[in-house]
Amino acid sequence: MNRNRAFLSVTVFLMLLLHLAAFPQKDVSEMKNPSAFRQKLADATKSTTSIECTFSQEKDLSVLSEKINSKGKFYFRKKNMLRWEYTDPFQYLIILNDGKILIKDDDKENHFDSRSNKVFREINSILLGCVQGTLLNDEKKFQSAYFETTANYLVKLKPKDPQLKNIFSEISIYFDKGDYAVARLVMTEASGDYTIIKFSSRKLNVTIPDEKFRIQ
Amino acid sequence: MIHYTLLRVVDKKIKYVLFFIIWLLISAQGTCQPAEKSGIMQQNWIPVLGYNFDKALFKTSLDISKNHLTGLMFFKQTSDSSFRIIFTNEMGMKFFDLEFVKEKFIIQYCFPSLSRKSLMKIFVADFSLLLSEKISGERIVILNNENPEYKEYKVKTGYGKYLFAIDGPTRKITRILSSGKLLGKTRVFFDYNEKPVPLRIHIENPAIKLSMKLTLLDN
Repeated sequence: MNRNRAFLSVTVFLMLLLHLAAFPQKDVSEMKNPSAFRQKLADATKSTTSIECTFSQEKDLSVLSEKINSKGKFYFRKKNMLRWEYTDPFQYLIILNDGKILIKDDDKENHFDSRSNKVFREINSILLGCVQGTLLNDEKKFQSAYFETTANYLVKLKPKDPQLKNIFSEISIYFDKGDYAVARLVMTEASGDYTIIKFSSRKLNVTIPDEKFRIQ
Repeated sequence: MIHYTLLRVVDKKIKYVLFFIIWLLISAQGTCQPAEKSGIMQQNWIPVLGYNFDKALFKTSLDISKNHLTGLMFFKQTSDSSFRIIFTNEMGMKFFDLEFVKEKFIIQYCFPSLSRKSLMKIFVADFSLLLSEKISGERIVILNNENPEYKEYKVKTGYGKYLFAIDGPTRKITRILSSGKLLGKTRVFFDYNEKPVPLRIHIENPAIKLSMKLTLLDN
């Protein structure tokens, strides 16, 4: 009897160990129902008219064991208005407004029109796609894989376009399980360096004045 | 006979005197003085990135012809004889990653549209000035050493000939001008605050419409 009890205890212990090993430390597992996730994301995107939040960015230079940190404010208003503003430790501003792009660096302003420039059309589309989470619908440009953690749904996008592959080997988008908003972006380069952008203090569907997206 | 011998002796002496005068003329060169040893560099100016440099982050804008790139440039000394310079845009996308190791450089990464041999050569030559690479004390000529406020040195590096302008009291390099023909005339200007690393660095090469401006963010 004692031997059987000991054997049972060891077996249960081993099973527990195996169970723990199946979930890596980062708590990432394959998404159970990607179709359901995509439908819910589409519904959430439909009902989101604006996003206002702060972001922090960490650029990891792995070979030097160094990180470059920056932060700023982010605004989005449907359907194609975006303001991405770095405030610390430098000033840098990108405004997208109905296909027009303004990039302001200190005192210098550059205006572009994505409608007449293919490169900027792509940038426009990727930026908006990232923040809305709709990038994963672009199956021509990206191969997607679906995962989840305790707090987030995670979609890993591998670029198919050779030019984009040269810049990023993977873009990971973390969606908040509560409201399906983008909580984090991780852009990984082929070298292994990566950039993490975390969004916080998020406000959805608030009024954002036109001034924020004005391109003069 | 004696008269002929005397003439021969005098003739030799004249030759020696003439050689001596010619030697004097060659070595004098007005106010220029040949450098003694490599220690002249250390005695007369502080390296651009200061002594005991570790790392520095600059906000950077790079204009080449009609193209305008902005971002962050990170300098790090990775060992006694090696440096790494990484230039990324504000969102983290890398433009280039250069490594200087014992007077050689390695292009670890370069964005395709910047990956031109001629452009890389210019970047490497310009950055070598900031890293004090390939500057030998034996190739330094002092042009002006009398004014305590301002000094000039003609310097030959592995990439060309340059004029270094030094602020006398602080011994910091305020300006570097090249006299190169192949790489064009590079001009580098430095502004300082109380930190050993320059607050601002401006590198320009008008021949190829290149202008790089670095502003120190963190050191």
